[in-house]
Amino acid sequence: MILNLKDINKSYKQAHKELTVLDGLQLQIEEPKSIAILGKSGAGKSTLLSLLGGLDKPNNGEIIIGSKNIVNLSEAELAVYRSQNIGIVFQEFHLMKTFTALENVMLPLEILKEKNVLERAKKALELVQLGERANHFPHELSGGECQRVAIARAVVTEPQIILADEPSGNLDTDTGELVMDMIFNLVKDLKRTLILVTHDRDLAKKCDEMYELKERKLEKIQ
Amino acid sequence: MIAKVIKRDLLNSKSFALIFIFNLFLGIIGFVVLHSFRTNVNDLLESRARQLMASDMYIAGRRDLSDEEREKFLSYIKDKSRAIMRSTEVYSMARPVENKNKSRLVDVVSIEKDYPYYGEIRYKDQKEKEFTSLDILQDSFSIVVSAEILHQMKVKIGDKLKIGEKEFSIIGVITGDTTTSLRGFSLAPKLYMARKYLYETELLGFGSVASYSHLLKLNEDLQSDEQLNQIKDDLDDLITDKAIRVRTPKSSTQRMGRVLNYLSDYLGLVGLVALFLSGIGAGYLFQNYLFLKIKDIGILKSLGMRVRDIFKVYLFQLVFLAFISAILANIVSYFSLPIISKSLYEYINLDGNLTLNIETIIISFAITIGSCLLVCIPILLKMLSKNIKHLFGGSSFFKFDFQVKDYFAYLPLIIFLWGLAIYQAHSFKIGTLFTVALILVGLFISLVFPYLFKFLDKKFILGKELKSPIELKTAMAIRSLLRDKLSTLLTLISLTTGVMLLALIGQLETSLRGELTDDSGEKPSLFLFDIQEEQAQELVKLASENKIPLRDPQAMVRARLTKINGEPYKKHKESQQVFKTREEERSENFRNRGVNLTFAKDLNKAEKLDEGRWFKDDDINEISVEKRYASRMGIGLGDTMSFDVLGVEISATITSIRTVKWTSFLPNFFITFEDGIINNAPKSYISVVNKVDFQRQLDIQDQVVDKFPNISIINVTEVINKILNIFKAMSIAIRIMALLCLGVGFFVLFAIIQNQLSKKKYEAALQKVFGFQARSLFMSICIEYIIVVLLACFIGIGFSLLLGVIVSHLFFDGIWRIDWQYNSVTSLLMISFTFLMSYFASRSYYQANVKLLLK
Repeated sequence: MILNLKDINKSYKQAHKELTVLDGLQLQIEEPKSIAILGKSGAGKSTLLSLLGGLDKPNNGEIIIGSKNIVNLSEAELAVYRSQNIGIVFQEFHLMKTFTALENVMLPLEILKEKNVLERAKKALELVQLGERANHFPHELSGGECQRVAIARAVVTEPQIILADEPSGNLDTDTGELVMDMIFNLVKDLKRTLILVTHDRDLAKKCDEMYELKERKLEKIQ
Repeated sequence: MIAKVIKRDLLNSKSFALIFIFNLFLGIIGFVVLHSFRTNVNDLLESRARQLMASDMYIAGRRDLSDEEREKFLSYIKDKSRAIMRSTEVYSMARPVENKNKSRLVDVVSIEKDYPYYGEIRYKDQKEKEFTSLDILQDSFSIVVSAEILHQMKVKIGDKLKIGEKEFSIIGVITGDTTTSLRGFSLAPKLYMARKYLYETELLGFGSVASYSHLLKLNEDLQSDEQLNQIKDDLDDLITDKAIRVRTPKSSTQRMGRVLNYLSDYLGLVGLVALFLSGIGAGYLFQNYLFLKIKDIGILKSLGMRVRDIFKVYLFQLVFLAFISAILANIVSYFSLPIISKSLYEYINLDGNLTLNIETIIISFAITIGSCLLVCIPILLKMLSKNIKHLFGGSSFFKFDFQVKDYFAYLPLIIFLWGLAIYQAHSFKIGTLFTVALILVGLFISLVFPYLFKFLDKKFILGKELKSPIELKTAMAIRSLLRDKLSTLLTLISLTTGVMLLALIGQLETSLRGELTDDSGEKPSLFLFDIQEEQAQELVKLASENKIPLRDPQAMVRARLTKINGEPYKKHKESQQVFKTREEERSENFRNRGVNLTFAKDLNKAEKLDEGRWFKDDDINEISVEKRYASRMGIGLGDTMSFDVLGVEISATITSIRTVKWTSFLPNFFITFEDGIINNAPKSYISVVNKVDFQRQLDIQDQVVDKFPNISIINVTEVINKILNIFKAMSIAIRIMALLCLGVGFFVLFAIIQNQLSKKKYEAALQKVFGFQARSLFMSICIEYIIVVLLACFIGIGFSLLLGVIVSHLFFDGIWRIDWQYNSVTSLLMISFTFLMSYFASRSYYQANVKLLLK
C-alpha cells in the first residue's frame, strides 16, 4: 500500500463557527499511478493536499504512507517524512529567488544530507531539459522553465508520491501542456505516484484515475 | 479621481505609511531639535546682548585709547550717548594675605560707578544680605569675588587678597552675574574692583595682557540695529587701529555663543547623517511600495490616466507622508526642548526656556518634504517611464534597469545635501568635506561591491554544491547576501555611514584627549606672562636659585600690521550678511587682531618648517609666519609685511611658513622675526615652567608671585582639565546625535530585513517543507546580517581612519591616534544590535506557516 487515507475529518473554526471541509474521507492507492482530484473552488482540494503533504493535520482519521501513520508525527519528524517521501509542485513555482536553477534543485538533497548532490541535481535538471540553464536565476527563466525547475526539485529526492497543485495554472496552454506531459512521463518512468489537484477536466482525464471532491468526500469518477 | 486613488492607496498600505513616516521622523527629529536649540540660543543671546555687554555698545582693545583717539571718540559720541564709563579687565595672580601659599590666577574686572548699564551683578555680604549695586567698590580697596575664588584660595568674606601691590578686602560673593553667560571657557574666576584702584596695583605695566573698554549707554532714540551699525562704522573709521574693536549687540552675540556655535555646527552635520540615512530608507521603502503598485499603475495607464496624473497620485502621497513626519518631529521637539534646556543649564548657564519657533517649523517642513521628494521622484519617474506591458507583468518580472543617466536624476539631491551640509556646518570646507565623504562611501560601496560580489559568486559558489565547504545555513546566508545586491548594498551604506561617524567621533576624542593629556614630559606645568623686560633676568635668576625648571623667557613685542606688500592694511569692516561661514567669521576676527611679534634664532620643539627656508644671515629683514595665519591672511613666501612698533615702521619679507603644535602649550607666535631686528623694541616676556608635580606648581606660583606680583601664571594642568571637561560635554552631545544616526541606520536595516523577509516568506515556508528547522532559518538570517554588519564595521572604521587623518590635518594640527579598543567595542555593540534586530524583524519570517504555499 502506497497511501491509505482512513476516515479523514478536517474542520476549521471560522467566525466562531465550525466549518467542516473533509468528513470521513477515504482513499487507498496500492500501486504507483496517477490520480487526479477535481473539485469546485472551496471544495477542500488544497486542504486535502496539505494533509497529504504533511503540511497540516486532520482532526480525525489516519494518513498512512507506506506503513507509517504520519498523523502523530512531530513537526521535525514530519519534515523528514516530507523530504523523503513527498515531492510537491506548486502552482506558483515557489523557487528561491537568490538560488540558481541548479541550487534550487540541490536544496532538498542538501537538507536531507544526501550524497552526490551536484550530480543528482544536474541529472534532474537534464530530465526536465534544463541542463543548459542550470546556472540561471529564476528571474532569468520563463514561467514554463521555472515550473520545470520546480518539477526537477520535486523528483530529485525520488519520493514515492508527487503532489501537484494546479501546476499549469500559471502557464499558457502550450507551456502548460508541455509541463504536464513532462510530469506524466517522469512519473511513469520513475514509477511514482502522482496526485494532481486541478480544475481542468481534460487534464484530469490524462491520469489513471479521477476523483471528485464533493460534499466533503472523494467520489471516484468512472 | 486623483484624491480617491490617493486615499485608497494610503488606506490599503497602512504598514508602509507608518514605517515610512517613522523613518522620516527619525531622520528629521535631530535636525529639528538642533535647529530649535540653535535659533533659541541666538534669540536669547540677542535679547540679552545688552545685559551681556553691560552696555549698548563698547569699544575695546588690548591697549587703551591714546589721548588723540579718546578726544576724537568723545567728541563724536558726545551728542549720542547718555553715559560713558571705562572698564579694564586683566588677568592677575591673587593670594590671600593670611595664607601666602594659595596664590591663584584671577580675572580682574575693574569698573566705574553705575556698572553695569544693563543687567545686574548680585552679591551677598557676610550676613547673607543681597545687593545689586557695585558702587560701594568705588569707596575703598574692596572686591566682590566669585564663589570659585573663595573655594580655591580657602578664604571667606571679610578676608583680604593681595592683588599686584595692593591688598583688597572681600566684601561679597557673586550670586548672579548677567554679564557672564554662555562663555563656555574662562581661564580664571572673576572678581570686581573699582577701576581707579586697579591702577594702584601696578598690574598694568608695559605689554600687560589687559583689555581696555569704553562702555556706552546711547540715547534712547539710537537703539535700532541700523543706527548702531552706523555708529560702529563711524567709530571704525575714526579709530583705524585694528587692535581697537567696536562691538554692537549683534556683533558681540556671535562671539559670545562661539563655543555653542561650534558644537551645534558639528551636531548639525551629525544630524544631517541621520537625514541622509533616513533618505536611503525612504528611497528603499518607496521603491518597494511602488513594486507592489506596479500592476495598479499598469491598470491606471491602460484605463487612459495620463502619466502626469499618476505622477501626481504618488507625489501627493509622498508630500502627505513627509508632512506628517515633519508634524510629528515638531511635536516631539516641542516637548523635548524644555528637558534639553534644563539639562544644558549646568554646562552653559542658559537659564531661558527653549521653545519651538516658526523658523524651525518652516525649515523642518521644507527639508523633510524636499529630501523625501528628491530621493523618491527619480524612482517614480523611472517606473512611470516603463510601458504598460512591463507593468502588467507585476513585481516578479519588473526590473528597474538603472542606467548611468538615471543616476544624474540624483544630482539635485547631492546639491541639496551639499548646500544643507554647508548651512549646518557654517563652513564651506567642512560642509564640502562631509558631503564628499558621504558620496565617497556611497560610491565605494555601490561601485566596488557589486563587482566583488559577482566575482566571489562566480569564483567560489556558482555551479558548486550548496554547503561545500560550509554549513547549509551559512551557504544560504552568503547566497542571499551576494545575490540580493540592492538590499545588501543599501544596508551596507546605511550601517557603514553610521559606523564611520561613530568611529570618527570616538577617534577624534581619543586623539585630542591623548594629545592634551600626553604625559611624555614635554608639556609645561605653568605658563607665565606679563613679565616686564627688566624682570626677565631676575626671574631667570630666581629660577636657578630655587631650581625651578624655567625655560628661557621669550620676548613679545606689541605691534600693528600696517602694510602688506606695500599696500596699507586697513581695518576689515564686519559684514552684516545674514549667513556667514565660520571661515568668514574667523577670517574677519583674524584680520582685525593686533599682532604680537617675537624673534628667534632657531625653531623650537613645537615648530616645524613647512615651506621656504629658515633665516639666513643676509641683508634682508626676514620673518617666519605660522601656516594657518598665512592662509587666513592670504599671504605667502616672498610677501612683505610692515609693522608699526611703537611708532617705528619695520618691514620684513616672509622667507618661511611654519606649522606650530599649539597643544604643546609652549610660547609660540604667529610671526617670528629673525634675530637682531626687533630685539631692542620695548617688549614683555612670556615663559613656561617644565613639568613638575602639583604641589611644586603651587610652590613655584607662590615664589614667583611673592617676588613679582604683576606676573600672571596659568596653570596648564588646570586649563587642560577645563578644556577636557568642555570637550567631554561636547562629545556627549555629539555621541547622542551619532547614536540617533545609528538608530536611523538600524531602523533602515530593520525596514530592509522586514521588507525582504516578508517578500521571502514563501521561501521560508518552502524550506520548512523540505525539513529546514525554524531555528536554522533564523540563524541563516542572523549570519547574513552579521556578515553585513562586520563588513560595515570594517569599511566604516577604515573610512573613519582615513577621514580622521584628513580632519585632523585640516583642523587639529595633525593630531591623530587610533583607538582599537573603542573600535572593537563599537563593532561588538553593532553585532549585538544586529542580532536583536534580526530576531525582531524576522519572527514572522521563520514562523511562516507552510500552508502559505498552497494558497
